[in-house]
Amino acid sequence: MTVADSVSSVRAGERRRSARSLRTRESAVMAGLTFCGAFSVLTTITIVVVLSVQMLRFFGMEEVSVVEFFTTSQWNPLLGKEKHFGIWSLVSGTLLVTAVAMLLALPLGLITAVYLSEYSPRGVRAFLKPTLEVLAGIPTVVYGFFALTVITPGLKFFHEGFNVYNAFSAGIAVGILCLPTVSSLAEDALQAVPRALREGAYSLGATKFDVSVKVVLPAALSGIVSAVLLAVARAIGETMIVALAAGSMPRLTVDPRQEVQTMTGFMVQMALGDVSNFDVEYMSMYAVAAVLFVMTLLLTLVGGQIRKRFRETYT
Amino acid sequence: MVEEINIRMSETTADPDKPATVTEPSNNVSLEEVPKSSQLTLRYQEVNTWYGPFQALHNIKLDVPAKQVTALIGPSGCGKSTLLRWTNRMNDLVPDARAEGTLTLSSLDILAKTTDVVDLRRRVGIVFQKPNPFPKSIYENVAFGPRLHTKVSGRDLDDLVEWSLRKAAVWEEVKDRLNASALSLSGGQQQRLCIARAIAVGPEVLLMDEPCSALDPASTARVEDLMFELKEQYTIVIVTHNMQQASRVSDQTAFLFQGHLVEVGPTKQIFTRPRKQQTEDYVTGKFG
Amino acid sequence: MSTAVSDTRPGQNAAPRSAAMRRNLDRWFLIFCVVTAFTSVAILALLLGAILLQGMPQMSWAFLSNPPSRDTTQAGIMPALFGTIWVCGACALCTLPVGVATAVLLEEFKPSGRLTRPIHSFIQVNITNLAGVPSVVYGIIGLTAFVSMFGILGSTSDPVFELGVSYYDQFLSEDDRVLLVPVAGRNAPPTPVEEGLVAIIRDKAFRVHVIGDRDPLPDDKRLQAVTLREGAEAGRISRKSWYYLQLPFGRGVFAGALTLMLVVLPIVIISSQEALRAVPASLREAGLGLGATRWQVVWNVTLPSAIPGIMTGSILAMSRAIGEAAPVLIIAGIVFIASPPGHLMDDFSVMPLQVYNWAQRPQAEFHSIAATGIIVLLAILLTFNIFAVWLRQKFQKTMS
Repeated sequence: MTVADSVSSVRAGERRRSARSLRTRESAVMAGLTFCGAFSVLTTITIVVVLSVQMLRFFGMEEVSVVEFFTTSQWNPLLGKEKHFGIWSLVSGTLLVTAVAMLLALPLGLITAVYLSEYSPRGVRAFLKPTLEVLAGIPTVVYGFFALTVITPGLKFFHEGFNVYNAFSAGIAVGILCLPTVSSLAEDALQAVPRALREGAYSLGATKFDVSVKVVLPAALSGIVSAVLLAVARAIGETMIVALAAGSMPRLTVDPRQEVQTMTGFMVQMALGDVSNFDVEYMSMYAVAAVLFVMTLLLTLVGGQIRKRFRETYT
Repeated sequence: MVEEINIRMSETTADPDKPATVTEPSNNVSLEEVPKSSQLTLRYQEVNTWYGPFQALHNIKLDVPAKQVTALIGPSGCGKSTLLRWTNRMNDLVPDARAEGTLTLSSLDILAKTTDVVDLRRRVGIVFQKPNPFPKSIYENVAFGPRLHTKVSGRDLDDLVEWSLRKAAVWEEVKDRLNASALSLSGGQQQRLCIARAIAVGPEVLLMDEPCSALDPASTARVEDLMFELKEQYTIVIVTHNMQQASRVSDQTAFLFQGHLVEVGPTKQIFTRPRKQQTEDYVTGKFG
Repeated sequence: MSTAVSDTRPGQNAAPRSAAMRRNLDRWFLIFCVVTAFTSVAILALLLGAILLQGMPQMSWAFLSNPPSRDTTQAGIMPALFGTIWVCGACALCTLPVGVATAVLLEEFKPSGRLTRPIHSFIQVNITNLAGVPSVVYGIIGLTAFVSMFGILGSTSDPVFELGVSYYDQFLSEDDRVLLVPVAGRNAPPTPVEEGLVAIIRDKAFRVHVIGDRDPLPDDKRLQAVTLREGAEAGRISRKSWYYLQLPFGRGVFAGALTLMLVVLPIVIISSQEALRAVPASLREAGLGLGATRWQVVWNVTLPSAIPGIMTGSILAMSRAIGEAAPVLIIAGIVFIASPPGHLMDDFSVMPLQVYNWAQRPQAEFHSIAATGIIVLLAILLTFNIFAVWLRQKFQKTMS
C-alpha cells in the first residue's frame, strides 16, 4: 500500500458515514476491543483461581497433608488405603528428563546459533534456518513416537540397562524439541551485539574464534541466559513425549535408564483414568498442575525480564 | 624534537588568491622542510580499491614517515577512512571489498593474500571514531589484546595494563576502579581507554579514524595532547574532518578528493602554500 | 604530560602464543560449528526417514476413510481427521477475531495516561506469560471451565440447558422392530404402555397395538411389528440435530475448540502485533493527517496493510493447534470414536490424539499405523505451512 492508497481509502471511508453515527461506532468498537483485551487477563485470573481453589480443596482432604506434599517423595495416589502424596518423585522425574534434554539442546543449540550468527554464508543459512523451523513445528506426539520406537531401541542396542520406558529416551526427544528454541533465541542475542565490538576485537589481532568466543558470546550472555530459561520452561511443560516414552512409575532417582513419571505424565494418567470427579486422586491432579504452573510461570517471567533488560543495553 | 606550528586561519575567506597568514615559529625553520626520519614505515604504491563495482581509491601513492603524525583530510566520501581500513586489512570484514596495488609496512606486503592479518593487526593498531570498549572491566579491556598474542600474566600483565593506561593519559582517573565496567566511563575516557587498549599490544603504527569527532572539546584537547606524546614512539596516521586539528597535530598532511590523492606534503606547506588550487579551495573552506 | 612513562612496554619479552596454533584452533572451531549445525539436519532426516519407513506401507485410501478398529489392516483415521477439521475450524472462528482485536488494541491504541500505561504493559507481559504456560495446564483449565463449567450449570449428564434435542423412549416390538415414543424431556417419567400410544418407526407414526402379558401374538406380521406387551420397558435415548447445544458444554467439540483457543490465542496476538508493527508509520500519519479518527485509520489503512502478515501468523498458529494432543487428551480422554462429530457437543477425537492412542499400545502393528497417521498429520501441516509461505510471498509482491 502506498501513502496515496491510504489517503484515498480513508477518504472513501469518510464519505460513507455521518459524524454522529461515527462517534457511536467508535465507542462501540472501542468497547469491543477492550473486551477482547480483557479476555486474556480473564484467562490468567481463571487459571490462578481454579488452580488455587482446587489445590486448597486438595489440601483440605483428610488423606493429604501439606507438609507431606512438599517434603516427601512417595507418590502413590491410587494405592487403596496407603495413599501417599509426596510431590518430589514427580518433580524429580520432570527434572531428570529436563536435565537430559538440556544436556542435548544447550550445547547443540548454542553452537548452532554461533555458527548461524558469526560464520554461516548466506546459502547455508537459507537452508539451515528452515530446517530448524521444521523441527520446531513438528507435533510433540511425533517426537514421543520417535522416542518410543527409534531412540529407546537404539539405546537398548548399545546398553542393556535401559528400561523400555526410560527418562533418557524421553529426555533426548524433549531436547530435540527444544533445540530450535535455544538456537533461535541465542542467535537473536548474538545478533544484537553491535558490530563495533567485533571490529574492536579484530583490530587487536583476534581470530574469528577469539572474537566469537571471547567477545561476542560474553557480550550476549544475559540474552543467552534468558534463552536457556525459556527452553527449560518448555521442557518442563512437555506432555506427550513423556506420556509415551518416560513411563508412569514415580520414583526419586538420578538414573535416567529407569522408568519415571513426570508431573505432566501424571496429569495425563489421571485424566485418562477411571476416577470420579471429586476424589482425592482427581484433586491431586490439580495440585500437581498448580506446582507445574508456578514453576513455568517463574521461569517465563524471569526469562522475559532478563531478555527485556538485555535488549535495552544494546538499543 | 617536536616542532609546534601555529597557523591562524584567515577569518575572511572571500579572496581565493590571498593565502592564509602564518605566524613564523621562533626558531626560523623554513616552511618547506619537514623534519624527516630516515625510515619510512608505510608505503602506498598504486593502491586501487573497490567496494563491489564502485572504485573507492584511485592510484594512491603515499609515503608515511616513521614516528610522525600524518593527517588525511578531505570532504566526506573521499576515501580517507577506506585508505585507513585497508592499512590493517579491516576491510576484509566487508564482503565486496577488493584492493590492488602494493601497501608495505617496512618489508611486509600488507595486501598480499598470504599475509598473516592477525599479526598485521598487532603491528598496526586502530582507534575508531566512536569509542567501542568491550562490555568488560577496564582492566580486561586493556589486557584483552596482550592475552591474545602472548602468555603474559600476573604481575607482568598488571604492569603492562598500568603502563598502557599511563601512556594513554587515563591512568590517574581509573587506577582505583580497574575492575569497574568500561562502559561506566565518560566518552573521552572511553576513547583514551581504547587508545590504551590499542597500544597494549605494542604496535608500530597507530591508525586513528576521526578519534575526536564524537568527543566534547575538553576531551578532544586531551586526546590531541596525547598524540604529541604518542608520536615519540608510534607512527600515527589520523583521518580528520577538522582542519584546525590536522594543522595542530600533524607533521605531514595528505589531501584526498573523490578517491584521488590530490596533494601531500608538510603540513605547514599544505595549509599555507598549497600547490593545487583544489587543495587551497578545501583548506580555505570553499567546500567540504 | 606524563613524560615519566618509559618507552619500554612491560611484558615485551613475554612468551608469544604460537600463531600456527591459533590458526589451527580457528579452523577446527569452524569445522566443529559446521558439524554441530548440521546435526540438526541429520536428526530431521533420521526422524522423517524412520516415520516414512514405518508408515508408508499402510498408507492407502482405505486408511483415510476407515474408522479405527482392532484389526490394524482395516483401521483408519477418518473420524479423527474430521474431528480435527471440526475442532480447529471452530477454534479458528473463535480465536482469530479475539486475537486480532486484542493485537489491534495493544498496538494501535496505546494509552499514554499514567494509569492506563501500566495496565497496557501488564496486559502485554500477561500475554507473553500465557504463551509459556504448558498446554496440559490449559487442558485442565478447559476441563473445569468449559466441560463442567465450574459445576454451576449442572453436570454433563444432566445439563441445565439444551437446544436441538429430542428424547425418546425406545421399545423393542414383538417383531424386534425399534419403536420410538417421543417424550417431553430428559427427565420425563417413563412412558407407560397403554392403548392409544403412538410410536415412530423410521419417521412414520404408527398406533401401537398393545396386548396383555399372556395374550397371544397377532398373526399379521405387520401388526406384530407394532405390538407391545403391557409393562414393556423402554430405554431412554436422545436424537441430537446438527445444531445441538448444551450447557455445560460437556466433553464435546466446542469445549475442545475453546480449550485450544486458550493455547493458541497468545500466539495469534503476538504474531498479529508483529504484523501491525511492520506497517510503516507514514501510512498511519497520512490517514491521521486527513482528520480521520484512530479507528478509521486502523480499519481503512493499517489493518488492510497488515492482513497478509496477520494471515500468515494465524495459519501458523492454527497449525500449532492441529498438532496439539495434550489439551484434547484431558478434555476428551481416550474414547473409541467411530464416526465424525455430528454436532458441536459431540464426542470427538483429533489426529494427534489418535496417533497417541495407537502409539501407546504395546503391539507393533499399532505402531505401524501410528506412523501412517503421523504421515497424514505431517502432510496436512506441510500443506498449511506451504500455503502460509505462498500467501506471504504473494502479498509481498503486491505490496512492494
